[in-house]
Amino acid sequence: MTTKAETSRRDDFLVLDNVSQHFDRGKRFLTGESKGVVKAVDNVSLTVREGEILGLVGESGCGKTTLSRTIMQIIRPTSGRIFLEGKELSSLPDHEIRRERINFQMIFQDPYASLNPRMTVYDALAEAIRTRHPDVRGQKLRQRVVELLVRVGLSPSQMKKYPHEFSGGQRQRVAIARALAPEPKLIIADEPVSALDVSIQSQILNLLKKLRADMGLTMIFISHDLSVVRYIADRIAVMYLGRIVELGDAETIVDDPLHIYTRALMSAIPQPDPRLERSRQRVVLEGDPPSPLNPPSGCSFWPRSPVPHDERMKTVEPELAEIKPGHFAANCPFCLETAA
Amino acid sequence: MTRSAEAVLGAEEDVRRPPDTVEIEQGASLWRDAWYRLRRNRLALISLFIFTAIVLFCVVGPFLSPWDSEEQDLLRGASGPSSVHWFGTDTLGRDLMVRTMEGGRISLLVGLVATLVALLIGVIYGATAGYIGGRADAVMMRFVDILYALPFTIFVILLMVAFGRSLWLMFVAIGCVEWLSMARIVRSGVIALRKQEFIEAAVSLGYSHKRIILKHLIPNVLGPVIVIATLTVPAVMLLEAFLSFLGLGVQPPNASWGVLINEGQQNMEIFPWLLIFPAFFFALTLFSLNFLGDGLRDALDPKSAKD
Amino acid sequence: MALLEVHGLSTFFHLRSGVVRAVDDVSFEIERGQTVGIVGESGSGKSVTCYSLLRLIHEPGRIEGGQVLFNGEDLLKVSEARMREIRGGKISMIFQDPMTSLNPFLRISTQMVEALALHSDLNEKAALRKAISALEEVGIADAEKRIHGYPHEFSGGMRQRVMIASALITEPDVLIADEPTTALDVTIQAQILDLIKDRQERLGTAVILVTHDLGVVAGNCDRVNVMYAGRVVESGTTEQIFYDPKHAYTQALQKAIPSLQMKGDLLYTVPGMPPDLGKPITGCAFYPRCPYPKIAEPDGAPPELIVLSEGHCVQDCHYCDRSKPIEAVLTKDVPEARE
Repeated sequence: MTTKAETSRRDDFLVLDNVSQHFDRGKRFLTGESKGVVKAVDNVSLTVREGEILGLVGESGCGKTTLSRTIMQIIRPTSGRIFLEGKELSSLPDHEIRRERINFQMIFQDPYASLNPRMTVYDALAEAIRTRHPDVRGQKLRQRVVELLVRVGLSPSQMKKYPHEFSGGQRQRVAIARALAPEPKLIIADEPVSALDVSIQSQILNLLKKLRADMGLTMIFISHDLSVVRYIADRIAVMYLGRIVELGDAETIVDDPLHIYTRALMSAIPQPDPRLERSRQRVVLEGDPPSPLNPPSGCSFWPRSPVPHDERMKTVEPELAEIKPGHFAANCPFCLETAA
Repeated sequence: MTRSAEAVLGAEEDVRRPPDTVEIEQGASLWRDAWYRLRRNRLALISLFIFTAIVLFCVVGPFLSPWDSEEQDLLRGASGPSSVHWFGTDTLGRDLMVRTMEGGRISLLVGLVATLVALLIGVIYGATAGYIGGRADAVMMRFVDILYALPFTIFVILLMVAFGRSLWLMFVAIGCVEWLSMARIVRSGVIALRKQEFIEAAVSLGYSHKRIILKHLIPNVLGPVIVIATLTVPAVMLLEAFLSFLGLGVQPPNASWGVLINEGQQNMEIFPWLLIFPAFFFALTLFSLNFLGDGLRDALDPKSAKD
Repeated sequence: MALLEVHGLSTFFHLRSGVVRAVDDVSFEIERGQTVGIVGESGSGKSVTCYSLLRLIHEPGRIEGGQVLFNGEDLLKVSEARMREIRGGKISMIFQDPMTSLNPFLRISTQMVEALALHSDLNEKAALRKAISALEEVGIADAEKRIHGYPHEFSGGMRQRVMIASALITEPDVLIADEPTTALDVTIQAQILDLIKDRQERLGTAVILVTHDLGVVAGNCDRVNVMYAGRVVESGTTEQIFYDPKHAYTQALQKAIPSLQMKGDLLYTVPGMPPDLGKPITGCAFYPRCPYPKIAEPDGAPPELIVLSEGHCVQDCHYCDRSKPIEAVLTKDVPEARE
């Protein structure tokens, strides 16, 4: 590797220890009965290595967005602990959290809404740079802005322009530049290419890969598109109803998934190969992605599972277990592909 | 990583050096786009021109006129328009044109100042409520709802009775009523903006609440605020005229357009010019401000700015 | 004669900033029971084409020319009354965003019965029964109760099913599906596409499937039209388009998709951005982005479609040297984003 030696990279760069994010909906006004608890994130434990790209995959309601905001401490976890480079974040008081925030940066899905329409690119980047270096001014500041722009593949002559003067792909580059400006330790990319045209997507994906190589970034890449995640991520975590149901190397997850939900996700993705499409075996799920407000009991996947219904599904309590070396999955006996 | 990718990535490093001199292209801010759109709206431009002309007329006019607004000529009494008194004179012989101009000064002043007061209070209150959200927001807006329900007239009358009649009190009284709509609009604008990702980005960059509200939220709600402000001015001027009608407005010898219209209305059949001139200017101001406000609304419409 | 034939359709938008040629001389056809895909990115004109077929274009857009022959009848020339009979009756359309394509103030039953009443002689009771069975056929459980619900009580996937049921309830000859699954989760997308296929088989409806997703096209279409900058650049069977693409854009697009790449390599990229349709395009619209080495300057001539083989047409290209395969000329680096 060109940047750091393998041994000095932390394995436990970001550690989530039984993190949960439960939203209590309160009580009904007259009767006093509880309106229920939304378990958006439920007992997630995860370790992200330094310099790795972890893909986070799931459908709507799975909690991946809530998880990313919890990691960034925009909302505090209801329980569990979060460590960054060994330092526990979840126990820090509010004003200290604000200072820690610049270690996490986010790239959002919508390139139109992620930039302040009233600020020039220069202003937005300068503001972001100064969060880490408040004393940088004038010529030096300009220099840094130029460096950032070049790094993301934009021409510095555009720096005084406003967001609406750029295309979607270019705006996303500006958003990436802004995310890099405070020199963060972790970048969370929440569906960064989903809103872009296919021919632009590959430009941005290449850019992210290159930045990771150049700058030794650690990244969590959230997407519903498994083919994109497979390409860019080193490891993939699959989420369902606030829990991780499978975790492992990207290749393994895609080529040899254990959990039936992962297999369903894989088979649901249309492949641009007509003969393959016609011939492959599909696992088709029934029903809609569940709402975390009323999660099914037990295995929680059983309402949609193509496996024949068994009453015991409602009572098992699956946990994330290491099924094969480095390959974790929720050990629900009805959901795991144990036989070949 | 494979060899080929590494080679490509490595090769990039040497080529990618920022240029020493950069020609910076000027950006087109959304305000500039809005201004261009406004310029193309002929009605709005004419209204702007007319309004500016009226303001100049009222502010500069009295310095140019040979007549003083307090100079009475009881022998002459009310007389129609003539070469000496272009707008005629009122029942006390005072030159109507100068009185109209000075009346305009007061009406416009009330309009602008009261709107400014309403703006300041409304924007800050609404932005804070929208930003904080939750229970605080609910409480703040219920307070606004309650105030909305109170009858304005009684409130102002009470104020006037309690604190005596003065111009400044009227600014405050009217401003206190008008800020309510402003607060609501700003609050809903802020709530819509708050969900946008660039606000989340600002939060994740560790910006203080104050900075987010002032630099990121408020500039983006200014559009609707400007439109409402432009439409509030005529509303305020009408309110002031209404108060004057009730005798709660400015005191003689000062007169606003409302007072002049009231006087004119009393002698409408015999001395119609006493009503026509002030009413004409008042109506012209109201119309031009309304059309200008409409034009601003179209020009500042964020939807057209998005392509 | 095909069920629906489109010849030289053009739709322009007359904006203050200029004329946007959203659809420029587009031709294709669809047979009974066939599924034809229209693939393109944003600005390609695929959606505007569909709206033009049903004459749903309003000022500042205007259908400038061409023919849309539906069973021999030119839809661009018939009366508005006849169009109303056709829309929803003979040719139905479903849209991308299930959140906004149903009227939030009306119950589902009201909306479906309204459509039925317009296009058939059924009375209200019979229409309601038919609507309920239509919902059952698209997989909505407990349809008898749920039909009286409001759109917001349904999830995105279910709303799309309701849309499909509404569109097919009159048993139209053609169903136009404009990005029907783009806004849905991927497992729901698979369900909806299967559903469309299933209903199509039962009813024999022809389907025009508009999407930007090549994977969706590969699995669901018999023929594909690739659109770029308002024109059809290549047209053929699904096999031909995927295994023997001839136009540089078609080739480059397929190469840029991650699923076909080996892991670890950088992706092939298509440099630049889709063109500004407000500016007139000389010759080949893809010329500025084409990775093939250029051998001629763009001239003003509008490109022609040449027929290569049975059913396979491609836009003529005489500007580039096409001797090498696309992989040899496509770049994998991180290109500068030029203005």
